[in-house]
Amino acid sequence: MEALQEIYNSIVQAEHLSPFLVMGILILAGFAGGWVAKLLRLPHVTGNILGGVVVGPACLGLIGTHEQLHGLQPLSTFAMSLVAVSIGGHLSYRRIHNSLRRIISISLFEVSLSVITVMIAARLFGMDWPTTCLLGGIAASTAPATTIALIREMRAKGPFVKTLISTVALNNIFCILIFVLMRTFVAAYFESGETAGKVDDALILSAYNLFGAMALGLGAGWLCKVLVSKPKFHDFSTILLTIVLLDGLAAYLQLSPLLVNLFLGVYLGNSSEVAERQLTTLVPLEPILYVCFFTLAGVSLHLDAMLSVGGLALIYIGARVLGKSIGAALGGMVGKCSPRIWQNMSFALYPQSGIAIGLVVLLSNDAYIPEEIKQVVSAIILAGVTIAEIAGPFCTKAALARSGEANRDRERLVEFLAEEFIMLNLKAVDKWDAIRQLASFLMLTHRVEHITHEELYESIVNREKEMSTAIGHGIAIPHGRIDKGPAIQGVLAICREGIDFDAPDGEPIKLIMLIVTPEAKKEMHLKVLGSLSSMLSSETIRNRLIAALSPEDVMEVIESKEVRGFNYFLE
Amino acid sequence: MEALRPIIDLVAASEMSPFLMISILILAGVLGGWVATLIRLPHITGNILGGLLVGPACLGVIRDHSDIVSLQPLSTFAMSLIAVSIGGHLSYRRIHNSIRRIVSISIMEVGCTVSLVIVVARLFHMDWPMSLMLGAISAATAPATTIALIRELRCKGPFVKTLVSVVALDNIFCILLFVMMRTFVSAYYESGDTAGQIDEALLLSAYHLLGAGFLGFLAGWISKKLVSIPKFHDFSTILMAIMVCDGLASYLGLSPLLVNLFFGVYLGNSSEVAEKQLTTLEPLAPILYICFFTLAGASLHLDSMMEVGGMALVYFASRFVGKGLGAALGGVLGKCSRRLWQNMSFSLVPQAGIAIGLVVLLDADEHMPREMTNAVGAIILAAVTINEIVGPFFTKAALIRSKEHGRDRERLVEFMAEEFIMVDLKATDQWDAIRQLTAFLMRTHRVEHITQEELYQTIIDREKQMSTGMGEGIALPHGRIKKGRSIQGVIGISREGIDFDAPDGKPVKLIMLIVTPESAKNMHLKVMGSLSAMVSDETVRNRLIAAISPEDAMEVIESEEARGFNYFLD
Repeated sequence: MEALQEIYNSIVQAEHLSPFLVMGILILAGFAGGWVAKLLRLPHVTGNILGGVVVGPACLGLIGTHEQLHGLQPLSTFAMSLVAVSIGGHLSYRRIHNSLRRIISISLFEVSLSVITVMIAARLFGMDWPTTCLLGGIAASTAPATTIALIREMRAKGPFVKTLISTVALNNIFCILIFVLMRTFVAAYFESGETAGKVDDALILSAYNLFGAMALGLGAGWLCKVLVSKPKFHDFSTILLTIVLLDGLAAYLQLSPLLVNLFLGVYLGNSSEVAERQLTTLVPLEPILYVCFFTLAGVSLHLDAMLSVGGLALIYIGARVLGKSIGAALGGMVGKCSPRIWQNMSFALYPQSGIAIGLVVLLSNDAYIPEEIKQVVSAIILAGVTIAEIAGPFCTKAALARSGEANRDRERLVEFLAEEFIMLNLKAVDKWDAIRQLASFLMLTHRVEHITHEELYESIVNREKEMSTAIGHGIAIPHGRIDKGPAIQGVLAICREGIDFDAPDGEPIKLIMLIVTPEAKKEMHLKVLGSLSSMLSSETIRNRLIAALSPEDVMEVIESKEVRGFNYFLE
Repeated sequence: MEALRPIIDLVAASEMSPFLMISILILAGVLGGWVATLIRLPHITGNILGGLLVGPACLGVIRDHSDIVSLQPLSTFAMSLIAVSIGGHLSYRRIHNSIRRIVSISIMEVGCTVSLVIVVARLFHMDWPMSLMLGAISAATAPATTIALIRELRCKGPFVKTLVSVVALDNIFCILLFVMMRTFVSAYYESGDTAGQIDEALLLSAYHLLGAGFLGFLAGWISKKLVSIPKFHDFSTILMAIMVCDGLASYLGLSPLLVNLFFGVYLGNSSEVAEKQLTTLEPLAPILYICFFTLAGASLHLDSMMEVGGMALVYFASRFVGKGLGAALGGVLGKCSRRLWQNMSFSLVPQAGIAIGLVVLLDADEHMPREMTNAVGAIILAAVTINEIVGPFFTKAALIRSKEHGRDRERLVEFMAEEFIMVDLKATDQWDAIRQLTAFLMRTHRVEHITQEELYQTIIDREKQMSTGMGEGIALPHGRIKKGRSIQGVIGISREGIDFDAPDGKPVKLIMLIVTPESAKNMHLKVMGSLSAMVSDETVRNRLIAAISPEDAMEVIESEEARGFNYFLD
């Protein structure tokens, strides 16, 4: 017994938990919460967050001392950076070139409306101007990590998801810029009592935040691209190191790590094929980092702050929800997108976490702003985040489910039936001109590095000259075969005036699908052609397609109940 | 200029974040490694020097030792990853017929090093407690340095296998010895007598060994269960398991190295899926290794080296001699080839993380007087500085001299390795020999897709059609199976000879049993051709039949005359 005492003593010496054990407890709690959430059909992230609340100081108190949270902070920053890179990667020109209008319109409206409603509500409830401005600045952001995690969990894919991700990316950029502006004004107000002379400073600082982040992110992206193109560089290490370095430099230069990494993602997504592949190099790390991130967020939720400023936080949340919903709906209508998208978008922008907390931390480092203001703002924001992170995922999950895009991120027969490959209002003098225009549209929207535009055009025209590919009812399916390439690629064009294609029934062609099949996929070619022509065999569908207002509208028809079955999932 | 004022104010006030520190360290390491490659130094020496350069000892970009301490978990994690990988090498299928020399070399080198260091320390008038502590710590060889060098040189073969296993064992011994010695020394300072403390010392050592074994195996068993479920993400599971092992080990006062070593042992000896997990975290390895060595470089104590320089040199020299003599003696006793023990003598010098970890443990012991722990700490830190800068040269030279570098690539006949060779096959007849070799194949390969009886039946069926004896005492029985990834085989040597109905009637002394899966059938003829060409040389044949151990057979197969037949596929 005495001997065992010795062992016991040696154990008890290790009274403080090592960082590994803290992380182990954290992640296990997150997993357990996620598992329970799955059983109860709650969003996975909510489970992680609640798991964190349970082991955190608010409940069991296993972990969550101030030093522990501070020590694990870099992990959260890194997880958030990974999310930012992934979001930036979605902002690739090839993906959003014909949906830019609705993306920008929705983001502008929802950001400005949520900022304005929060500010008005704050003033109405008697807060002073500085608090109002700071709350308004922070209200704009939506949590990118929560959004991405929910999209992954539900395997969602489609125009709504694309719009949602892009809007979240943009609203975080706007939020950071607005916050920097507001903070400079507020700090100047307290420093010298006047704000008028500080417009220059505020603008310069915002510009520094935007362009500094851009220069750093794009520069790092370029460096990465050059490095990973050399075979002896280890991709995983290169990207990992780049993100770590960017986080370090951003913190050193007082830029936002989120913005910097967002631009890194934008560069990788818009640059070469090799660079684009790097966006998925760190995927093995993601599950555990996400669980870590959300559980940590749960541990650091301030339930006490919520109780102390409960009323004000509810006002903030209420105003923000109202602003986001009305703004998204208004923006959607102005951007002329379908009701399905704007209706669901109104509910998908509530989550708020890391960025808002990060901005509060920035605020607390500002020497000019008085303590009372900082405390009020941070209590309201922390309480607001607590509510937004627990309730927000439900709304986003519901919106994703209602949009009908859940569970569609799987391989389908015709992968190129997506919004970005659709061209409306094709104007061509004759059939050869139409084919030439579509071939260049295909080059523009797909990553085609193995064949030149001229070769592609040649191979399609050669086939066309053998026999017209018009199949009647105003439809033509010109196609070509090439040697290399990863998959069957194609574009869809609608021409309201009609083009003469030497069709067997003599009708002018209004719907053109251009298809390019690589040698490796030739057994799929006939299946794809068959599926496309049976999809277009119904006259209603044809007429609705030809009458479509926008590429997105075309997608609504293609994904409608009647025809979506033709483009079945391959698994 | 005035307009940019706010930006300058902003940036001037900022401090270095952990991210920036890590990136500077890694970049310094990468740069050092690159320079090292250019001037043909070992890569890790470059990393260490890079770390030294940016560390407090030199440029001071990383100013503070407390900064380095905050990055400690990263080092611990890297070391744990290495421990898992080393543990995975200790799989029964790999070392079943080389255990003798591995155990003999490790015991002799640990014994020699520890006693020599203690004796020399006493000769130089250090007191008993200090001599004992130095002696115990001297046993450890740096696993990370060894593994990194083996990877860098792409080494593979009996020497590398022995080296990795010896390093694994000597770290286990070192930790046990250290726990024992510390208990004695601590009791000596506490109550002045040590005699009554033997029980306690043994108990604590047993706790360290069995506790780590239990924890590691348990973690291994749980991981194996989890990764067998398809929806579990392998990478996350293993990452998590290692972290929990580290956390629990330090909570329970166990060594994270030992716990993860046993974790690796479990994975390596358990099922096929579990074994695959040993490589799941591979993508993380390069950057973690660089981090580890650069961090080690940044925390080297050049100042303490100056202070206790003389003593550190004495410790270094006695350890060097002890390791060299011990390894040679152990090799001779374990009857291994000269090539092996000669090179082994020089490859056990590196010492890093474990030794420093033990010094930290010593510091935390409140019964030890400060002067003693400070002196031991200074000597060990100074010696680690020398060992880590000098050691890699010796290990690299030994690896090159062993001629096993550049051989970790795919070869035509992958099953020509020591663990697949059986000398002294004793069989009553042809069928008994085939049955024994089939059982040997099942035991030494991971075969989960076919039972032994089915395998035996296929080979027998083929054999009954026509004898596979090819004359000159050689037989190549073979069978074809449906599933499986690659051609597998074993080599059996029988001194008495077995009647195989060979065309020339001679008894068969060399049997190579080959199993070809359907997917690799186009390789089958190439493998058979290469094997028969290799043994058609009479000298090679006779030397193989006369081999006294599997290792000896490998020396013949890898000799200048024969190794060309088993060419590299790339």
